[in-house]
Amino acid sequence: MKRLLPWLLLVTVAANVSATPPRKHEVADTHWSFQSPTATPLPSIRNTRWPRQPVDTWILARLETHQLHPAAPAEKATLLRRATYGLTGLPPAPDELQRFLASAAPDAFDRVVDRLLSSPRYGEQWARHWLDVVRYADSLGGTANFPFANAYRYRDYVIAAFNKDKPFARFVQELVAGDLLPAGDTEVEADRLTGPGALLLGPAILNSPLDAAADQIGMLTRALLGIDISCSRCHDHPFEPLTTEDFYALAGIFTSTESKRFERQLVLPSGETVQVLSVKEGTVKNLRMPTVGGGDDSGREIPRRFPRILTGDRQPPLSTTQSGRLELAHWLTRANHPLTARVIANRLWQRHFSLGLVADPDNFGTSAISAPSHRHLLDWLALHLVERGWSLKSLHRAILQSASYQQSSQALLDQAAHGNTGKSSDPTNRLLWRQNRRRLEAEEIRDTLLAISGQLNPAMGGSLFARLGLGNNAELKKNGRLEQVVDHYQDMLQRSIYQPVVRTEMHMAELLDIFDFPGRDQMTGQRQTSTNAPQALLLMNSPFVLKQAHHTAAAALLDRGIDDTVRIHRLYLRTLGRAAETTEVTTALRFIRSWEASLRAETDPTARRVQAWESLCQALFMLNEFIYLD
Amino acid sequence: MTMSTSASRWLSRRELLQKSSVGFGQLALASLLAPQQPARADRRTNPLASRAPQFAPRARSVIFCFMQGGPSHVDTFDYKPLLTRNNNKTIPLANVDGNHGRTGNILKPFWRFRKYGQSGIEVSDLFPHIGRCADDICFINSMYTAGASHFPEQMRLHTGSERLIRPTLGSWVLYGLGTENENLPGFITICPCYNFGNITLLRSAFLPSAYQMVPIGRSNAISAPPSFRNATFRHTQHPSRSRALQRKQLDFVAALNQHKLAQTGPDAELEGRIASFETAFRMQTAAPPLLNYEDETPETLKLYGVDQPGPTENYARQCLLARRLVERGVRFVELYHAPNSNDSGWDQHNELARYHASHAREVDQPIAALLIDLKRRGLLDETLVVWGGEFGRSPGDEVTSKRGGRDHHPWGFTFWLAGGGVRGGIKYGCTDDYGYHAVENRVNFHDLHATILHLLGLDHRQLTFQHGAEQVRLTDALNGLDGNVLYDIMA
Repeated sequence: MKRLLPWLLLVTVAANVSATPPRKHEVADTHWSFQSPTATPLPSIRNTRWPRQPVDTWILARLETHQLHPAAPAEKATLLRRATYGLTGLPPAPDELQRFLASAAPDAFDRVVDRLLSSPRYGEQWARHWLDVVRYADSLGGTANFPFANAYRYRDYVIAAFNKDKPFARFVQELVAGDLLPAGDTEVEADRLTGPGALLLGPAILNSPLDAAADQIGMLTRALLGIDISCSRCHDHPFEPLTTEDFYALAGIFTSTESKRFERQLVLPSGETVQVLSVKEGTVKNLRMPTVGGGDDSGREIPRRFPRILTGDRQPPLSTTQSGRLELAHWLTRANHPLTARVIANRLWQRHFSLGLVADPDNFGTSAISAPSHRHLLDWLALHLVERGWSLKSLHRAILQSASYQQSSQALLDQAAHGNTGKSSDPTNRLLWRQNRRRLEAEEIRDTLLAISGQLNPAMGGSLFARLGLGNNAELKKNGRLEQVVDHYQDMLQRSIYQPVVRTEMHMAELLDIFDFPGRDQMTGQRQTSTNAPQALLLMNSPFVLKQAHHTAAAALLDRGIDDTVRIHRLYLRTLGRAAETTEVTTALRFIRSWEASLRAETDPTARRVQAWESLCQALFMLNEFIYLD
Repeated sequence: MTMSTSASRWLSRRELLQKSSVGFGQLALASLLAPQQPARADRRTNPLASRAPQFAPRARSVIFCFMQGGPSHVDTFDYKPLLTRNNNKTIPLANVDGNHGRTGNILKPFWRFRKYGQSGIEVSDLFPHIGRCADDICFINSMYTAGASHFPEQMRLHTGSERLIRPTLGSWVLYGLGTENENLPGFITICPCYNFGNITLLRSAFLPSAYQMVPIGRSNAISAPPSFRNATFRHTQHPSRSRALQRKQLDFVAALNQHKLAQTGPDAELEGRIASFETAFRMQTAAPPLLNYEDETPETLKLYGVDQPGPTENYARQCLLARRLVERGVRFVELYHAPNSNDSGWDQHNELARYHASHAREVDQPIAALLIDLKRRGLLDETLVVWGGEFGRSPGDEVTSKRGGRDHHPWGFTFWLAGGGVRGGIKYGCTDDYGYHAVENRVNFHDLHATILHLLGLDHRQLTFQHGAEQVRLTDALNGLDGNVLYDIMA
């Protein structure tokens, strides 16, 4: 039985009913994203005082065309919280907040951005986004749920790569063909051999070589190019100028590569000898495209090559002695590649604004539902990235230091102040007449609770599977292993990125699951967000949340030299990242007193006090404000 | 939301936002004083308040048994004797190249068909229990859809659009009618499958978050540790805190949330989240008895197949739960039979005989029991039960597998409806002699949606939502097509 693949295949679209008709290749030949990015002079604007960065000029020009004004700048505390979560996935520490609020230096925020980008927490946060994009998991999933015992080496490599700002082009080259890149010192060796690990983490890796290749190129093309070529396996793509030939041409590169359960031993710069998932060249062979009624091997031989819509017909033939991955890696990272830089630049933008310039970050094709909101800006970002040596950190700076990013997200107040009509004329805020509010993602929620309660273990790396002695053959449904993993999950106090992703069984990571952690069966560049009563029940009654409320309260009460007013001020700084208003302090004090009074049966005054403060801390965890970033 | 015919009952989105921001939280609190009252509060202050349909409804609630993966119509409810007679021959129709040569020669049905009931409708031996309910069922044999890929067609089945981000059917229904029981969510999905990026099929999209579905259990939870195994709401009990204290805490939270909302302005998403805490609070009382089947008779448990471990146990519990939910006024229940960590759902490209048999064994008795049980409780009249998947399966064998499987087949397949004002014991529409193309009274998902809404007393053309510059409805996403209500199937 084909386990997963049929679910991923686009088979066909009937011609006799009214589906969207397939686009003609002539249309695609001029499709914007299939042409190299071009530098366009900055547009002229009226309000020349507003821009802080080149990106602002593009944003403002379109706002002015639509008679809209940018929103007022966000309050300082709001901005710090936004940036700290955006770059590190954690709340700002109270002392960082106080320092930032106290500073009048004009470059205070720019220095905050630099500080956050050099924090190791940055790599953890952005690796997390990348792991969504490459459908990272620590197990195969499905009926025979084998661990990928060494997958975590790839995860830790990604975290380190973001932290050291490895040029994105190099990162891509290591992913596609690290094993074929020139040898170097220990660090170079470890990185280039670990980089291809993501190719082995798909749910189809143990299926037929063609199934595995389809998964690999599906992930790679969507992650790097924003198009999905795996859809063309059975027929020409229904919506895109991609043919079945394109599929077999690209798949041949990966069926000429050995990846199924392949591991290499290598020495890390630390001196540790480890096993990593990796790939090596296999038997180099073009695939044959099956004919109607024939088996997989029937039909015409398709030379290995890259998609014709992106390379034209004059692509030089690939090596006959190598798979072609090395050429693919270099082609993908050419400075003028039409998609690679744009797609990653858009992913960064999308994370900082909750909305990409290309709205679906995984679809840059002709079937995208809407045109990019600011095409020239996207080109500017892509070119900027390449000019700065593919440094993602420099792209973060260009975005975060902009006035566009630093706008307030609050529509109503701004509307009153400026007479903005964005709410009615641009309700989805594609023109960015304000920032977007966003809900924290699952891991951010869990990590925040642990950080605030003081329980977060900041240790980086490692593997729960390894600690439990679960190797590649330890099928997780057998011998109570899943139960064992679940038990240890509850006690893990490291950041959520270090918890193993057990495909198909994510319900065991309950908090993550309930707050919309994606299944990781396939890549996803943008998570969905739900709001429902089970989330509320979890915050009200789950042992995990109650425990964090307990620790938070205990820490607050430990401070003996202060009164409760100060205590509440500190608690607000810690949990909500802002100063408490006077009325909020009064309300909280009244809540504490009233709670203590309700516990008449409890004779121990200390116990009454602790319970009251636990309840207050938990109440703050439940606030909308806690879980949303303005 | 606009409603030209009865504007007073229906509010514009802007009005809803303006008004709800002022009073919704407080009203939610106030309504707690009388939690047992049916939710008849004003829609202006409570988006979930029950409200009258647009015209006399036939059904009050819906149970949708979603068979994910595409069950075979020619092996179940669409009897085609010519397939058996011409086994292994080419399909003698002109237009059979839809699957680009992946569909091969005729593969005869794997099961015998028998006639059932007064109506004499043929159902295969795959579904003997459902067969015995044939007189209560309307089989729509002439379904068709536009594409043959799982995800786009599941999207179209749920949201009307294969690619746009649109609200799912259950959210539209809840939006249209509100809930009759504020103590439970109005739209519950039992054991959903999150194969395609989480909740994609089931999201409320741009409808306010108050209309979101609430999941209970997971399709893959069969293999999970015991505490996750059953369809159950977790954390419905605080380990020590009294309800009164919990109420005090939630009031405090609500007051702070309202304080902040007053500063930042109306917001349907944030208000929906405030409401979710109120639902959660009430669920603490309402959910445990809901999930405790002790008040069911042994005979009922036996009817569904909950009584002993076996293939039916899991789905039987889900069907029984669905009945208990609609009994308590839940508006829309979606019941998944879907891929899980033990198999791949109804998607049998290979070994169809083996896997369709095991899936049918899991669902046949429980679904039949659901129909019987609803009927004897007088609930079938007001509960619409819908059965089907995103498409059917090819009458020819799958060329590339050659292992007794069938390919995806969108050109003709079967859905069935029962109860809720639908005539039982009839077949509506048909495919050609080989079960290939729907040829008579063809029905697409827009038609199905329009019909379901109509049975609930909602006009699919009038149930709209203002999204940006667009007036959106459930049945406007297929190019040039509009939903047609199937008046002919109504009792």
